[in-house]
Amino acid sequence: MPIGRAPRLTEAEVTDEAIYLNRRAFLAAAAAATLALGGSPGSAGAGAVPSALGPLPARRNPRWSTTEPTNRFDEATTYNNFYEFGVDKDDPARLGHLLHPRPWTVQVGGLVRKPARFDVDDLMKLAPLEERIYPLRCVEAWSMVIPWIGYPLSALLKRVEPLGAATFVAFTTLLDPEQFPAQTPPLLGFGGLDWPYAEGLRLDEALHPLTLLTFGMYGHVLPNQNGAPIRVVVPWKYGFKSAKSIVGITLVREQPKTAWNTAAPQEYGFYANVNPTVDHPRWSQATERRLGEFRRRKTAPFNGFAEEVASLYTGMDLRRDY
Amino acid sequence: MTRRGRAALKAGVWIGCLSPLLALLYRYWTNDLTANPVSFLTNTLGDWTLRLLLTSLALTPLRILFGIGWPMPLRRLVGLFAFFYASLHFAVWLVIDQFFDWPALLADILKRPFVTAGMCALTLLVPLAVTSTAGMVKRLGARAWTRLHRLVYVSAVLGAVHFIWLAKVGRVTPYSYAGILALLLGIRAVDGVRRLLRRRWNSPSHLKGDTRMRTSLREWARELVVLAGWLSAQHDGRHEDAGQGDDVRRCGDGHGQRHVDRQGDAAGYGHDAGPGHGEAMSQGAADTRRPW
Repeated sequence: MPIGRAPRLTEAEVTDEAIYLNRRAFLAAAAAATLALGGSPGSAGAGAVPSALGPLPARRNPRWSTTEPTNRFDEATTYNNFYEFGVDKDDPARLGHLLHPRPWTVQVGGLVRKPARFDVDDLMKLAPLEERIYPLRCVEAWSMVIPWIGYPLSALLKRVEPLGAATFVAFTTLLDPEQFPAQTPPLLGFGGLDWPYAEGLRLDEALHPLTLLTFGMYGHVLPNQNGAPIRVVVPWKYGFKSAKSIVGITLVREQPKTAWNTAAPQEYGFYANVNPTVDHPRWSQATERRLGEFRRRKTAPFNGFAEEVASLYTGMDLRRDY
Repeated sequence: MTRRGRAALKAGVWIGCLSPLLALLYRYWTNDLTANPVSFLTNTLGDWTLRLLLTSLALTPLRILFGIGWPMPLRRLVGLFAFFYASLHFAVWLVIDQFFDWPALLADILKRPFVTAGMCALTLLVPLAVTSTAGMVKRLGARAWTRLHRLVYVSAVLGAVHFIWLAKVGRVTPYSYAGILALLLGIRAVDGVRRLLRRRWNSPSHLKGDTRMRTSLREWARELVVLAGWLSAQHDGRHEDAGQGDDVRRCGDGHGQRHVDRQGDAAGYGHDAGPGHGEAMSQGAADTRRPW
C-alpha cells in the first residue's frame, strides 16, 4: 500500500505555511473554485455531489493520505453500515433524511480540566480543516477509499486538557428514535445493539495524528448517512470503531463499554485493529473487496498504517487483544 | 385439473421462479447492483434459494392442513428452481467472489461453519436434482426414491443454519426463515405420527374411509389435541410402569389428573366427537370439539 512506502515528506514540505497563514483567503478561493467547477477541488472523479450538501473546502494533507484512487461519492453514500437507520446497506441512504444535523452540540467532558459543550459550527473552527484520504476497512471484509475533511481529534482533546487519570476516550452517538428509527425496540426485541451506540479508544490512540475528528467528505459537509454532522475516523481500525453522529466525548479511567464488543465480544474486540492474521470467527480477514474492484485484494496490517501506529501496541498480544 | 390448466400453472411457476433472476439481470443492465455487486448478487441468490426451498416444502403442509392438493405436482419444479438458485449462489462465490482461489475456498469450507453448512446443503441437493426425472423414480422404485428425497429436509435445515451462522447480530430474517422451516417440518412430523397412530388404532370411526388423507384444518387440529392427550397418557403410563418408590412420590398430584385426561381422550377418540358428548368428558377431550 502506498502509505508508508511513498517517499516521506518532511513536515516543512507538507505543511504549506502560506496556505495555513492565509487560510481565510484560501478557503474563499477554494469555495469559489468549488462553485465554479461544481465539484470539490480535492476529489476529482468522485461523482456528483448533491448541491444540498454545503461545500467544505480543505487542503489535502499528503503526509497522512493514501495515494490510492478514491471511491465514487455515490459508492460511499449508498453502501453504509449505520445500524441506527437499519441493518441493510441501503437503509442509511434511504432514511438518512430523518436525521437533523443542525443545531447540534457535543458535550466534551469526563476527566478533563475544562469540560465544555460545543456547538458543531464552533467546533469546526477549532483547528484548520484538512483533507485526508483514508482507506476504510469494514470488519465485513470490504473497503473503500474516502477523502475525509476534519482535523486531528488531539486538537480538541488538548483544548479541554485531559487529567492525568484519563486513559480512555468514550464516544456517544445521538440517541433519538425519532431521527434514528432503528433505535425503536423491535417487536421481537432480540439480539440487537444497545443504544446509544458507544465506541471508545485508548487515549494515546485518540491523540494519534491519524485519528480525525471529521466534519465532511468529498469537499462537502458529511451526508447524514455517513455520520453527520460530526464523527471520528480511525483509519487503522475496522469501520465500526469510527463512531458517527457524535453527541458526547468523555475521557474516562476504565476501558469503556462499546457497542459491538458488548453485542458479540468473541467477534468484535475493543481494539479492532485491521489485522489480516486474526480472522473474524466466521470469515477470514486476510483479504478484502475494495468496492469497484473485481478481484479481492490482500488486507494490509493496520490497514496500511503499520509504520505509523504499530508502536502503540508494542508488547501487546494482538491475537488476544483483537 | 385440465391439461391446459396444468400447463398454465407450470408456466406461471416458470415465470414466478425466473423473475428474481430477470430482476437481477435488469439491475445489471441499469447498473443498479449496489456499490458491492458481488455481495448483493450472492445475498440475493441465496435469499431466493431459501425462499424457493421453503415454498417447495410448504406445498405438502398446505394439503395436510387445508386439503389443498392441486399445487402438489409443482413441488419438483419449485425444488429444481431452488437448486438452480443455489447453484448460481455457489457459482458467484466460486467464480466472482473468490475467483477459483482453491486454498482459500477449501480453508473456508473447512474452517467456517456457515460455509460448511452451506456446502453440505448444496451437495445434498445434487442427488435430488439428478434423480428428479420420472425415469429415475421408476429406476429407483418409488419407495427408495421417496426415502432418498427426504434428504431435502436435511438440506433445508442446513440452509437455514447457513443463513443464521453468517448473519450479523440484530438480523431477524434468518430466524424467520428458520421458524417457517420448523413450522413446515413440524406439521409433517405431527402428520406422520398421526398417520402412524391411525394405522395402529385401526382407523377410528370418524376417520374411516379417509384414505386420501384429505383433512380440514379443524379436523387436523382436533386430532392434534387428541394426540397430545394420548402422548401425555403414554408418558403417564411410563410412570405407572416404573411407578415404584421415589418415582411415584415425585409424580405427585399431577399423576391422578393426567390419568383422568387419558380416559377422557381415549373416549373422545373412540366416538365421533359430536355435540352432546362433551359433558361426560374431561377438559382435554372437550378441547377436541372447539371450532378452531
